[in-house]
This record gives sequence, structure tokens and C-alpha cells, in this order.
Amino acid sequence: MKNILIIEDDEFLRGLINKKLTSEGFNMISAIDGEEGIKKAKEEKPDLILLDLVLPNVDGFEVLVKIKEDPKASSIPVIILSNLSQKEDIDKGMKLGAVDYIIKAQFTPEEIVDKVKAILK
Amino acid sequence: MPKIFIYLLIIFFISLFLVSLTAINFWLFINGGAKLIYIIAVVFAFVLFFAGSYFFAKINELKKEKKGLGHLLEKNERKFRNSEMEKNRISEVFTNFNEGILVLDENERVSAINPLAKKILGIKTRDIKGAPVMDLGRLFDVKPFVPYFLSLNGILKQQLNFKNLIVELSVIPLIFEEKNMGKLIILRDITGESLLEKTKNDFILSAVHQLKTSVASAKWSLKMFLSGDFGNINKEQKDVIGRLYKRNDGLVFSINNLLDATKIEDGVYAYNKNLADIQEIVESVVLYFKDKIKSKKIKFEFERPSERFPKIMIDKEKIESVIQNLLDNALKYTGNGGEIKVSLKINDKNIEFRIGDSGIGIPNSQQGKIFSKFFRAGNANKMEATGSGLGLFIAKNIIEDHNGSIRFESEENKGSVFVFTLPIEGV
Repeated sequence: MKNILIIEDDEFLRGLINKKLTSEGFNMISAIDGEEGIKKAKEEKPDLILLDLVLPNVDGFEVLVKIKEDPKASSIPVIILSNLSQKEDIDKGMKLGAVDYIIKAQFTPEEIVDKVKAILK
Repeated sequence: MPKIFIYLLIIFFISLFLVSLTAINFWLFINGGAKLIYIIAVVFAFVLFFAGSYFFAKINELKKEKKGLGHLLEKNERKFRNSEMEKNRISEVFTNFNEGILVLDENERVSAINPLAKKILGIKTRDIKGAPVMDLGRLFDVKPFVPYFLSLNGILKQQLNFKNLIVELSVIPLIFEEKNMGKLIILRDITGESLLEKTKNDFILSAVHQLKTSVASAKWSLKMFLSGDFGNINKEQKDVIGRLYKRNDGLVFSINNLLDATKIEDGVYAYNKNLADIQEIVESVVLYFKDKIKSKKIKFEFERPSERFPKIMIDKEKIESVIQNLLDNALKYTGNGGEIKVSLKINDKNIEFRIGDSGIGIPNSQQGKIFSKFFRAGNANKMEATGSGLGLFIAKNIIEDHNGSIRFESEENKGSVFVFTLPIEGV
């Protein structure tokens, strides 16, 4: 079973994605802020990370930098899951090493599942 | 009767009198009735009279000349005073102008600089008139500006970060009768404005982010209801949730549009124009709508130009929003399996974007109002309840603010074609 780490501070959104991906047969690990996210990325070595950008304390961009710096975690594919839709944010996220950038308000849970599956295949 | 004729008449009669007097005297003399001295006296009087008349005329002439000269002198003096006043006025305007102004002569030397320009550039010396602009970079801490000052072409509103300031720079070549007369350089300290703009934008972005988070949670939960993630739902529930889902989706677009429309209304719609590739923008919008195109089984075609267009000065995000609105409309108002065709081409000195669809079209009677704020055609309302009536209002404003134009042709139940053009130069 593949493990997916979701770093998302909004409990409602996190719960919905967890439910959807669990029903698709993934094992979900949750982190509710950036620090916890970095820690769990290194310790639990998930197969994929879903990363929100607007997070308390350490923001998503910083989390991404930290993950990509860590030799053990750097190979884990990271999908950014955010509502920041400015081009600069998208470019910045992709440049920092994300494999995809999903704007929450424009994608359905099914589409997110499809993207996750495509990357883990 | 003019005076001169009276004078001439008098002179004529006096001359006639003198001539006859001479003749009579001469006759008397011949007949021994008069002495020679009389004739001499008369001739003398004759000469005296003509000499007197000549001098009199001359003096009159000189008098007239003097008067004319005096007049001319006075006129000149007045002109001089006026030009002096004009000069003072221009100098006052120049000194107190609310933007920094630097004027260079044709040899790239400083010909004038106003106090504000000195303040912005941090030049404390009283007089730098005549200094070559090349030396400014060496003498003062204004190096980042010098290449712009020396640029051969005009520069319009280039933003530069300089020390703690944000400076907006324009360079305007002064050409008079095809002769290079130097340059006019305008410097604006926009630090305060930019800071305010940033605070405002940050606030708006954060508000938008919050709104979108709510929209996203509704979208995801409703979709999961529809997909049966929370158990089976009956047909009626499914129908209601399905409608709610669609409406919620329209909100994402509306949030962005409403924001733009508010800014246009406030007159604070700031444009950030840079050189951009329009084809790239179209491609990214097409990518954005890829899923929607697929789900409606639209026959979509983007007729790419055979060669790359020159980049043009535009606000990329705003033009992107125009194309997004046009494509969104085409998708909204074209039924499943319909056709949408997008093309880009160069038409004279303009880039022309064209989008045609086989959708419901715009009824003839309502075509005049299509660019008005909040206006939605009756058939559009029936087909899709979620439109805000803002998309085309925003599109028209943005295109016109780029010195372009937007138009359309449409026939109800046949489809619509929207075309906008943007000038390649001088946007």
C-alpha cells in the first residue's frame, strides 16, 4: 500500500482528501503545519506528498525547499495543492521541484486522485 | 480731400504767383520800367520758397520716420518683456514641477535639471549644467540610471529600484524638424504609491485566497456527495447537489471578475506592462480549459500562426484574463459537441485574436448592450444561470486601455465570433 503525506492546515479540506484517497486504497499521513510536514516527510518516507502553500509558521515553499534539501526525502514527488493561482506562485513552486501544481478551487477530488495515481504508477 | 493735395494746390498757386511776378518784372525790365534788383529779389524769393518747401517736406518725412521707429522700439520692448515673462513662467513651472525633470542637449550634456530630479538622484551640487551625462555616473551615485539616459530610443515608465526608492523613468527624445535636440528625462518617485499598491494587493490576494478556500471545500464535498463517497443519494438529491456544484464552480470565475470590475470602476486598475508573447498566453489559457473542453466534447481548434509574433507591451495577466473570459463564454454558451475555433494573426500593424463558436449566439435586439456591466442576454441567462455579466465589460476595458479594440459578430442559434486587436507598437 502506498503512503501519502498531506500537509494541509485546513481540517475540513484535509478530511475530504483523506477520505477520498483512503477509499482509493492509499494510506494517508496528515500534517497540519509546515514543521510537522518536514518532520513527517523525513521520518515516514511517504511515496508522495500533497503540499499546501499557505501554512502557519513555515510556509509551503519553505517546506518544499527543506524536503528537496534532504538527501533521503528529496526523491519523494511533491504535488502542490493550493489556491494561490498567480503565475509567479506556480512558477516558483515548479522551479523549487514540485511535480505538479493543483489549484484547489479548479480541481475535483477525482482529478486529484487521477494525478496522484499517474505519478505513482 | 487729403492734406497733401491742399499743400500741392497752395504750392502750385504760390509758384504760379511767383512765376507771373517774375514774368511781369522781366517785361517791365525790358521796357525799362523796372530795376534789375527787383528781378533778383523775385528770383531769390522764388528759390527761397522752393528750398523752404523742400526742407519742410524733408523734416516732415523725418518726423514720420522717427514716430515709426519709436513705435517699433516700443513693440520690441513689449515683446521682450513678454518673452521674459514667459521664460520666468516656464522656469517657475520647471522648478516647482512635481516630477523630476532632466533635459539633455544634443551632445548628451545636462542642459537643465530641476530640484526634484536632483533630489531623486541625490545630487547635492548646486550647478551641474553642461556636465556630460557620462560623467554623472562617475561623479554621483546614479550609475543605474546612466545607461537609460544614454539609450537612443524613448523609454516609457520604466520602474527602477534605486537606493531606497522606486523610481519611474521616462526618456523622451526631443526631435525638432528631424533634428536631434537632445532628450527630456522624467523621473517620478513612486515609492509611496508602490507601497500602498502592495498593501492593497496583499489584502485583496488574501481575501481572494480565503474566498477560494471556501469555494474549494464546497466543490470537493459536493463532488464527493455526487460520487457517492458519503453513501448513495437519490435522484432528487443528486439533481440539487449537481446544480449547487455548478453554481459553486462559477464562483471561482466570478470572484476574479468581480475584483477586476471593482478596480476598473475605481479607476485604480493598475497595468503592469511588459514585453510578452501573446501566443504563449493563448496556449496557457487553452491548457487551463483543457478539461472543460474535453468534458463538453467540443471540437476545438487553435490555428497557430506560421511564425512567432513579435513580443508586445502588454499586461500579461490582464490580457490572459480577457482571453480566459472569451474562451469561458464560448464554452459556456456552446452546447455539447459544438465547435470552437481560436486563431491569431497579424493584420496590418495589429495582432488579431479571434474566437468563434457554434453556440447560442446573441439575439439581435440585445447586441448593443453586450459590453455593459452586469448585462446578460436573455438566452444566455436561460442556458447558464451563473454568469456575472462582467466578463465582456472587463475585456473591453482592458483591451481599450491597451489602445486596442474589440468587436463581435453574432447570430442567434448560429454562434458568435469575438475579435480583439492589439497594436504591435505603442501599446
